Amino acid sequence: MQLETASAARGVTAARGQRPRSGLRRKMNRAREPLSAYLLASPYLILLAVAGLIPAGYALVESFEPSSGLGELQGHGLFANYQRVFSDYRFDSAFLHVGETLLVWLPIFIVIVVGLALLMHQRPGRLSRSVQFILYLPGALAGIANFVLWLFILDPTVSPIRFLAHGFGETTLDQVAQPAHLPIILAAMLIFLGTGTWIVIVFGGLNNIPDEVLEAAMIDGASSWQIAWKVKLPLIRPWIGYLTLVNIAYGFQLFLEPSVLSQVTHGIISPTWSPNELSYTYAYSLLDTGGAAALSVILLAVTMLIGIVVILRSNLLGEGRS
Amino acid sequence: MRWHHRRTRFGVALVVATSIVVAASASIAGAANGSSSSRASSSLAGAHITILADTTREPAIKAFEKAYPSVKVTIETYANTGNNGLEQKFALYNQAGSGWPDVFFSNGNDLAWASSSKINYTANISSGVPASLQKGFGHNLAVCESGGKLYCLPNDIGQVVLWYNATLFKQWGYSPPKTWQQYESLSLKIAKDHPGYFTGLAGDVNAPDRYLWPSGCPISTLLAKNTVKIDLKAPSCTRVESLLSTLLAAKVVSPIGLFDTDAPTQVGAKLVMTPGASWYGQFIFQADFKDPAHQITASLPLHWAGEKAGTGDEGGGLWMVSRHATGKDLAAAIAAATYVTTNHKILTTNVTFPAYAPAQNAWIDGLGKSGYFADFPQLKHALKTAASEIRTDTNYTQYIPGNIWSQTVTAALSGGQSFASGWNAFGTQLDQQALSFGYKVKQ
Amino acid sequence: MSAGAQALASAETPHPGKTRRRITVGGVARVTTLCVVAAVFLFLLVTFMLAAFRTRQSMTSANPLSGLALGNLRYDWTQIRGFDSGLFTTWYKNSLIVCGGGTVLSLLSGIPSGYALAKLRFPFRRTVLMVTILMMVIPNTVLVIPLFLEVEKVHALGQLWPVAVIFGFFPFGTYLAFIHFETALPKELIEAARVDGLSELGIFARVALPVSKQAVAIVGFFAFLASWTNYFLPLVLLPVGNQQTLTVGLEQLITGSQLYDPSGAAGSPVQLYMPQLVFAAVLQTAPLLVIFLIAQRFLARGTTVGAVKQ
Repeated sequence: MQLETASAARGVTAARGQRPRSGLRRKMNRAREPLSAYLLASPYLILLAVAGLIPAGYALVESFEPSSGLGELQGHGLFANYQRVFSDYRFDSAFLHVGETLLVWLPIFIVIVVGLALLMHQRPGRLSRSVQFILYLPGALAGIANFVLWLFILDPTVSPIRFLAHGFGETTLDQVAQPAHLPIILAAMLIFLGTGTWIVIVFGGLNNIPDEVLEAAMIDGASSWQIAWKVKLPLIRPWIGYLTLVNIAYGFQLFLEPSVLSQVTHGIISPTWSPNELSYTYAYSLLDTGGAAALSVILLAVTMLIGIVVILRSNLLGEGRS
Repeated sequence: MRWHHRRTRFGVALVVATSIVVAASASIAGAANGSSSSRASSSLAGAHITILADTTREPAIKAFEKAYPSVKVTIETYANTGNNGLEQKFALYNQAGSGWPDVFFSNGNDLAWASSSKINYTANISSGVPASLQKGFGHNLAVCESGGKLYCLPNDIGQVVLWYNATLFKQWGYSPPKTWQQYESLSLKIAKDHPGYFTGLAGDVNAPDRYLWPSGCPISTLLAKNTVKIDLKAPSCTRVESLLSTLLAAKVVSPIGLFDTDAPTQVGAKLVMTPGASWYGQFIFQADFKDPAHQITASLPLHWAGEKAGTGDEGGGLWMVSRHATGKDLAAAIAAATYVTTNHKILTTNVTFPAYAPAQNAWIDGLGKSGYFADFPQLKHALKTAASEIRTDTNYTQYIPGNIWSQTVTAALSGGQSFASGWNAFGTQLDQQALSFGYKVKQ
Repeated sequence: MSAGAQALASAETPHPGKTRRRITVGGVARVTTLCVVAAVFLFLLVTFMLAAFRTRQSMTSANPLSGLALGNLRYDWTQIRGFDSGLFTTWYKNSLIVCGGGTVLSLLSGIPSGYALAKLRFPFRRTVLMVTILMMVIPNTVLVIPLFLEVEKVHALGQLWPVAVIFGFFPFGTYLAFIHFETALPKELIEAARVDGLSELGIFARVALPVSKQAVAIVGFFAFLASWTNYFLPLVLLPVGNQQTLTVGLEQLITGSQLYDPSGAAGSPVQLYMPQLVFAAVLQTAPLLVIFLIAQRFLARGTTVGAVKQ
């Protein structure tokens, strides 16, 4: 959720366009400025520490502390917890599941988002605006409500589109929600939820293309399809890159959907399907805090790496532009 | 993430139960504990205990409250326990250093973590519960015993018998099989002569209890507190593997699960026979499948030819007492656990088969009063006999074989893969999960 | 979020489009594609909402209109409310407390810090900004287990306040406010205030705050949305039934329903099937719609952000 909103802001930054570089500042009041600034920022900085930096640091420390009561699995040395979760038979599969889901979801998602944005941008009239509005609506159903919607759609005993499932010979939710189908099901859920938001971001990118460029292309006699393909698409590549990276990071946090699906399918879907579910199992079922911490640190490292790439490759800082 | 069927299914349909069993109880009411409890009650004056149980247990707890007016009782109920809900709670109480319930009703799988060194909740109540009452549980008490200590009192058992449709059997000229071998050949005969009918289901969390437990297949056999025997290559396992494999291939054992939403329509009235727990009669055949009256009955549990009788147990609730309770509260907590598991009136109105032997006959008679079952004398004999034949070489562990079965065998079957691939995955995952909980695994 | 974003987008429609309107194959394909996609989305949403008005029995029909009646909502509600003796309203209250508290905190922390980052110079400004953006891009759920370890350490598991505090940490809000003040508050205004002798805090209170209505609306909206839909954090930090929030509660309704646990829920005094679950989900999203309506006035103005382009 936050990621999507973050990306909305990205569109926003882009829309700001060029900002004149800040000029001179008065020298007076300089001395009091940092103090006041810290005073104003202090509530945020405290929260940042309490809810961001301290838990991350604490997890890091805890991940090197030995856990007790694990029998032969305890392991030795500083990296015992890491060794244990790495060698956990569910570790590979959890990350593999995320990989599979990303592989199914992202390409379709990107094509849909970019394609629709280009179509709308071609003639941003009333039709485009209404379609855009409709595609946003699922955003209000984020989270568990979106899940209920998909339960309704997927369960052949209640679904309005049960003929699809019946076409595959599937008559129960358990048959539809097979582990092998999960990447497709999650892709459908995530596409439904995210398309509207991300179209806006890509749209922001399209709006950022200088009018002169498009006019020049038109004067050269390019058709609207050629303009979309040869002019607009290359120009919004950074936005597409951003969309891809942020959503890869998003894929690593999956928890709600596979977890509740596991419960409604009588456990056919493994309760440790995603990395986050696995770390939850470590924390609450195995009561292995060291292992849970190690898993969190791994997840944190992966997503932070993606985050750093995003920051370096985009101008979210607002000042990186030349 | 615990699969809550195990816990909640005993609690099914109080409504159904009362109509069936209530009649039996009136005459026995209170006779056993009436006078003694009121005496004990006064010595417990001032005790205040908290009892955590599912909603189905509420009437039993209220009955205790009534019998022990000097004990103040706070009832906390849980409805749904997905997502490790209960374990989370106890981890939380431990961490806070307070908040534990004095008495906790749950099942064997929860006993496994509740008595583990990490949660370490259960008190040894072997000296608190009168020996005469302990004796009444017979070997059903084994579930609660570990290293000479007593960590709980069993509430009920789900001893596996052979349920069958007497009307169809009569019509087709069959007699109920006595051994698993006969079960297999009769199933294949039914597959051939009456295609579309079923003699079992394999796709639910209870399947290992119905099929593997009676065979003595080691999937959760505790050799020591933290050592478990798992060996799917043992003959006691491979024979079940081949049985299920054959019957699934013949499409006479259904790949779906007993609790699936579509079980009543897909299997339902087409279920000719199945091994199953004592509670199947009311909850599966009568309430869920809505089979007509005077058709369903049960015979003695199946056994493997040439081996002595032995059957499985599909679940069973139990009552634990907190080791954090002290003084009068501890005494009151033990009294509560004892009362609800041995009081005739409560046990005979319960929906599930009492673990306490002296109440069993009355419970079965209550079942007979409903007039739903065919051939009641035979059913009574089967339930009574099976109750004493539950094998004790399958134990409750922190990993739950039924859940692993769902993720492997059920998933394979509903996903169109072979039973063999599901079975193999079942074996691998049993080992892996046992290890991940810190058990030593021996073959 | 989508709403705000939409407002941004629709606020600017400058386009060097062709003025002639000829019907072309491409044009037809474009209109068809857009209409089909919109129809699919609408179909899913509408049939879903309608399901709350249907009866359990009518769900066996594939026709999304079968069994519709307004009175069914009343029945849905009695069933939902009856679940575990009225736990649903408790969940609702808990959600309002933690999300309301979180939103207030996110505003109290986000607006001043965004201002400081945008308009004041201080050491480590860039670092704070960088960390903020990094925190924004990292999915917040990867921090849940570390937060669990931290909250466990201070013995506050099962209490509502840590959840509200954690919801109050909303780096995206700080970032939004940062953009707002950077673009909407002319430097000259601040300089002038300094010349008039106002202190830095005075400038924030008298110059910046009065022009931050937009930022407050947007930050509040997004903060509430993010916390209201959060599932993992309350699940982990509030393990006890009557302390849980609506998202976790809804999950319990689903898994505790007869639809997905027919035998286990058979003894339950309430009947929960798809119509009731849908209605519960709709009730869960209701506050988001209210907040959306309240915030829309501000969002629709195009936000500072959208307005800046030209």
